Amino acid sequence: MSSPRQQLADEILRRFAAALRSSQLYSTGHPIIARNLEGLTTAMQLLHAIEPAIVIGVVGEEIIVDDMPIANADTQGSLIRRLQQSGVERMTIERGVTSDEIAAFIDAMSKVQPRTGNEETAPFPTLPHIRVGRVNIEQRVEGSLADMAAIRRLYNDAVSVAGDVWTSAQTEQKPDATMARTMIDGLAQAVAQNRTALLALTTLKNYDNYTFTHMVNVSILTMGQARGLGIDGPLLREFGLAALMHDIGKVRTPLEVLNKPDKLTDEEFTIMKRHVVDGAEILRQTPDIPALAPVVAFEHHLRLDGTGYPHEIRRPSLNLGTMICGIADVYDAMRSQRRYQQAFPTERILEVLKRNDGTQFDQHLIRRFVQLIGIYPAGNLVKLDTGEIAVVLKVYAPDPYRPQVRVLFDRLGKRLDLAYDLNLWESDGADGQPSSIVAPLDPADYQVDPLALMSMT
Amino acid sequence: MADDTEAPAPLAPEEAARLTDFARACKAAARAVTLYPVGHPAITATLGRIVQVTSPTNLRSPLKVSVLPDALLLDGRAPARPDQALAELAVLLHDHMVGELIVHPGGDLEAWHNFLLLVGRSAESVRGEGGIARLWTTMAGRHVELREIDYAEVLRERSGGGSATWDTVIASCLQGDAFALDDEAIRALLDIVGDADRLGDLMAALETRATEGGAGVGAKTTALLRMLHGIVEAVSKSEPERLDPVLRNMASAVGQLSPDMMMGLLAHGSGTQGDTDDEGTPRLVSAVVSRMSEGTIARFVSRNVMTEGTASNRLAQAFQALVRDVDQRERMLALAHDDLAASPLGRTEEFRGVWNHITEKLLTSYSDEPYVSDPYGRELSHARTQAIQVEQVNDDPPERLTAWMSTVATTALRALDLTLLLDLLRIEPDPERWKGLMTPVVRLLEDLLLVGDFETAEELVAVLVREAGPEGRDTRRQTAINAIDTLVAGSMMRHIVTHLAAIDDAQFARVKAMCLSLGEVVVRPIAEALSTEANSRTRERLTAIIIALGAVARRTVERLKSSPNAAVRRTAVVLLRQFGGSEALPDLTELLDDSEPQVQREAVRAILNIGTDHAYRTLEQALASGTARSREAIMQAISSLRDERAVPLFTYILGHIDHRGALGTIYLRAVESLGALKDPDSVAPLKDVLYRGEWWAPRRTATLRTAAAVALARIGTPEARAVLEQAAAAGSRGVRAAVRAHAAPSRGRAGWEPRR
Repeated sequence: MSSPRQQLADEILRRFAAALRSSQLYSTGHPIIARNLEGLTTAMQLLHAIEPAIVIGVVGEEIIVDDMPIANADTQGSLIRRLQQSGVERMTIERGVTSDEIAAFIDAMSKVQPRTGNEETAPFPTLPHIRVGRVNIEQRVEGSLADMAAIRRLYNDAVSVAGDVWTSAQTEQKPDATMARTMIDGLAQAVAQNRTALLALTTLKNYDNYTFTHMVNVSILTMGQARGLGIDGPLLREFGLAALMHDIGKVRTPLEVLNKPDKLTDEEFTIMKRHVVDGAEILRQTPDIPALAPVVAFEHHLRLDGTGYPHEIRRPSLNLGTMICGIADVYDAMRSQRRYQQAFPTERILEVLKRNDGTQFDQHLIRRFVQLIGIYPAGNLVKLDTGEIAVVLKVYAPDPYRPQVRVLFDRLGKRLDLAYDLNLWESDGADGQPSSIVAPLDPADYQVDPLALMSMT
Repeated sequence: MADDTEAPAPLAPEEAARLTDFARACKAAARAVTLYPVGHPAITATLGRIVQVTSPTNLRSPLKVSVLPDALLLDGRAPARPDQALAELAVLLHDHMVGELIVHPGGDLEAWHNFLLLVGRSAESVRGEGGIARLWTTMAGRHVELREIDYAEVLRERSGGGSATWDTVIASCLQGDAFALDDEAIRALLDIVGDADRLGDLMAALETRATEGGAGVGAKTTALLRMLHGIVEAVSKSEPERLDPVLRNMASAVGQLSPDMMMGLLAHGSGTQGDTDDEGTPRLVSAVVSRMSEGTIARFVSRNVMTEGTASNRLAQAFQALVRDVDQRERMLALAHDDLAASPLGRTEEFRGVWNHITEKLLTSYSDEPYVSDPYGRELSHARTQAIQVEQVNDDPPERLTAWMSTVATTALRALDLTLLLDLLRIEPDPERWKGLMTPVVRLLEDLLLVGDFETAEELVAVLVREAGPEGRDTRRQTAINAIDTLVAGSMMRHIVTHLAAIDDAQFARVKAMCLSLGEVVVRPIAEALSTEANSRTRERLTAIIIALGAVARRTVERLKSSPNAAVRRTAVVLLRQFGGSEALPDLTELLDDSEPQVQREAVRAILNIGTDHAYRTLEQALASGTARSREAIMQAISSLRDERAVPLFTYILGHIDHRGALGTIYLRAVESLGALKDPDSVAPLKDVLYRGEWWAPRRTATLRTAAAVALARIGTPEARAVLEQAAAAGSRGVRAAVRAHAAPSRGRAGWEPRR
């Protein structure tokens, strides 16, 4: 290739990188994307005046244009990575290519998620003047996620991986993003296919290792909420990854503060609060972490009414990721049985989520969360509006106060010989029939094991 | 029941096509309005199709469609070749208990949308609100007329007119605490229970009536149990020997219940409903259920799958509760498969896939039982039901959902990322940690510059510049300076150059402001970019930035003149020339000796641009003391100048340098150049040349005088002509000889050109 051709090829690569990056950084329709696409189209037209087709390929760590390696790697490093992530080995752009085709191609490239090694690559659109040669990856074959044992294994694996991610952040100052991403892929798939089974695991588990379980639980609870909002695909995984990493800054918190069983002193609490800044810094310096993750790590203790920390920070509004991760974090932290801390009943947690007249959290999201989890999750011992005492068997999403229950004690407090089941949502309260829960109760006061009673059927 | 009437002839092909078209369009649109969010293009497209199919052009008269459980008929006749869409639409409509559908021509998009939304709702919820016909009436839908099946009526007809008995039995089950029937009703009931099909119909009628009355599963089950108890009691009293066959018929009949009802019944059988059951209830239920044959259970499965198109969680639970043994389950599912294979669903291409899903669901739900504890497994099973219910709850308005989603859109995330970095840069108190932020900051800046987002880049650069400057904290200053150096040494300027020609003035103002804020460090990269840049607009803008940087830029440019890269040195000269003023003269003077002729030429031009005597003297000295090669280069540069800026230099040369020796040629070229430039102010020095004579060097004198005469003639002003004429008239012999060829006046001519 003669020198002017080489210059043009170099120009095309630069324009290509700029167009691709702008499509990744800005929403569709942003003028910066249009400007970069126009620049790329013009550059291609110039080279097409000389060559009928432009062939761009990746060989190892080099980028090749028409069999000529192109030097000058300042922007090409990321371009090569991108092509490799997309499984693209070679692309041929023929004379006559339109700006629309280029736009469609760049758009498709920008949407490809980094591969974790074994999943199938997303398809590219078929374009008349652009041909793409891709590496074929065999689709991952997994056991059915309808299989509860598989879900349980997935959950346990996730907790174990969370531990490894934590360790890598501790020892290498950067969490292992690839490992985390692979794990989140599995959880996201499970959340999409059998969300509630996974959610049930987060509420049933007794914790041996709070930190890692909390990471996984918050991730599942966040993805569960996101899925309920119709979020799927890469964005769902970003939410999951962001939630998984939300507390990663605590790797820098001194252990004596992190594990202190008693109430923290003001000074210790100040140290503890630093984890949001540390988390954001760690994640912002970790390659291949989505932009949402450090933002959520930084903001997950901020509240809509301006309270929370970091204290120096004010946000006129919070993004969805921060809001639902914040809800999941508070919920899981409060309901978790820790060595030194009593687990709170769900209703009490929801009171916290609704306190200050509901100005701290988006109450529409709280309502959705309640629908997802239920105010009285299965297994809770509760008092009914007519005085009976019952155990919750099954959450009824449209009305969390009216689940399916098994009545154990009559309204006078007498233990029934034979318990009976009621769908509270079906009752209209006529004839003195219970129709709603009024309060949670401590099973210890009644010397019953609700979980065992649930299994009598 | 045997049908002794002759089967009607199939529909004519044209009619069959009309019915099939309608069914296909209707089914596709129903699916689209149910599956896709409002505004999805699939909805408009599929609704458009049904509007077209039922438009007055295509549908001349109302389409009267009879709905059977698995087929649609037009005027009582079915198409010769069954179509999957007909069966699917039939199932959908029949599920809503639609018996007949009359489609009038001319329904519009909205009307069809409303109708299909209604059809898309669950049959149970529609029934809960009074049934599809009632709801459709309240929606004032006119393009479609519905006739809902009245099962009680149907059953009455089938029972041979014993309507009073049916109503009485059902009413007694639903309302009474006890099963109170008169003798006639008891006799009729005993007659019915002898036929499993009729008993099944009666139970179905009871369930339908109870649902219409708003009863929940619990109430419906109680009513059913009341019926079963009543029957057993009546049979035991009157014909105890028939009890076993009646129980078998009951077992067969309960196979027609819905999965919900079946679960309700089974719960009573297990004795867990102890508060409401007398002792006999579990025994009765157990007696009935234990008599359910494999065929009955298989039909229970296949019938419900046909109705729902798949296996619901509830069906799976009921099936698993009915059949505990895994082998038995497989056997029964094989029977159910045969049933379904013969149905319209079984004839579809998708059946195989559907069946795989069904078997997976019905067989695997308990497959992990050995691996999980009972409470855990139960919890998960319950959770599955919950998941379905949660999916159905989505009552946030679209604008709220859109607002939430917009906070995590790509551009919003970009803004969040920037805000985060700016916040971290602001609040991080630890200098080492602050230093750690520089890598992402520089990387983000490179990204922003690559794509040409100068507004954001400017904001981030401002933080670095502030911290690097006197206002910044001491602990951060060096870090910020290093980060700026890293940024500038990287691809920053290459990225900027990529966009410089295309961006508008406002964007350029940002770029310029950003570069100015960075200061001297950008000068070298800009100069390097200038040295290779061909685009004139880009060059112009890069130069403008450098010039705007003023003295700091000049200092760097001065250093650049010793760059090993000739192109950079040449650019340095160009920039020095742009700066103007005489401070650059010493640097330019050095460059007069540059090894590259192009650099020398630019230096000469720059010196000429300065235009002071001092500058000319510099050139003169360069000419006088330089090597032959550099002298030649300088003179070439001077000779190539074709504008009035060069006049003072040439005049200076004539006045100051020696026309003899090595510089004689230069002197002569200066004379010629003055003529070429036709500058009137050159007349006086040229006149001096014309009259200067050296008797000891006649050839050189003649050459110079001739050159001066030619130059004056080319200037051609009256003053120049006067000098020539005077020389021709009164000059010495040598002078006259020099001007002879040029001084012949031609009065009356407007111009005067020298002879050549």
